[in-house]
Amino acid sequence: MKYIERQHVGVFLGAVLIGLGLSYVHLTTPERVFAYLNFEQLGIIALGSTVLCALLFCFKVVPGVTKRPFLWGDFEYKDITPGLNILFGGVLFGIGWALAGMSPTTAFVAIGNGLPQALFSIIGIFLGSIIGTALFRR
Amino acid sequence: MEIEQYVIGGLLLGGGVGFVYLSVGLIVDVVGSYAAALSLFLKGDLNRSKRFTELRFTYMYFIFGLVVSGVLYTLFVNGTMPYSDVSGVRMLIGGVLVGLGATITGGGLLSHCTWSISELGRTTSFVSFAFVSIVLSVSYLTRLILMP
Repeated sequence: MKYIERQHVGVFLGAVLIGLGLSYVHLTTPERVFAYLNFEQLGIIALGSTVLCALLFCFKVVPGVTKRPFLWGDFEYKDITPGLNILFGGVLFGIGWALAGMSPTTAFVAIGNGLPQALFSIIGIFLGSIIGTALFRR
Repeated sequence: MEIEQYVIGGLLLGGGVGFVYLSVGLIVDVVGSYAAALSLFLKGDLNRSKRFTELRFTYMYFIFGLVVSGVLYTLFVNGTMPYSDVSGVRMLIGGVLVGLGATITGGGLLSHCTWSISELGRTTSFVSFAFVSIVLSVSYLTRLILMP
């Protein structure tokens, strides 16, 4: 098995862009996240709108033209079914986010930024992932 | 922060998710990334789906990219490392709840937004909207009650 394949390069570069975006709007700093959650920083609306526009363009406009990804594979689709897991999971996620100011994605970026406490957040998310998988997703 | 900073950040964030999709056809799944990392240390698959077992190393490269982006930002854009007053214990407890919540629902905020955009179906959009609304409302109330 090759350790670096084309899909790895695409995913890596995409992750770098995602992380740079999160760092640029300080979503990797808990205090700034708290300000967003308290609705003290209304620029989050501009951020959310821009993200949605970019996602619409990349997920709906471009695939209609290109038909296939330019590096590897086919376009995947994901279906979510509504259920109580959305309610329970959302409540837990919301409480945890309000406590830590970290989400699964921002925690790794924060480690790269040099925020040492983010390591505790990552450990906690791993523990939560283990518990959640053992209890709910097998 | 100026409005331009939010727009640039949004373009990088949305563009990054879009780049993954346009280059390899995958929808960003950070929960899968955590499971992938865990599978290196724990015996047996935590997630036995075909998607996970085939894409384990792809998920690892996603994590690697997130960490590298943080390093690049601190080295070349910000210049200084961030600081936070939030204690490690609080981060640990919050992290457990976030990880549990994300695993139960199958993803975090970014994943849910991406799924709804990729499908633009009524059910998917409703579920994602419900999840985001619940998270933001509960976060706001939690901070109101616990940390006035």
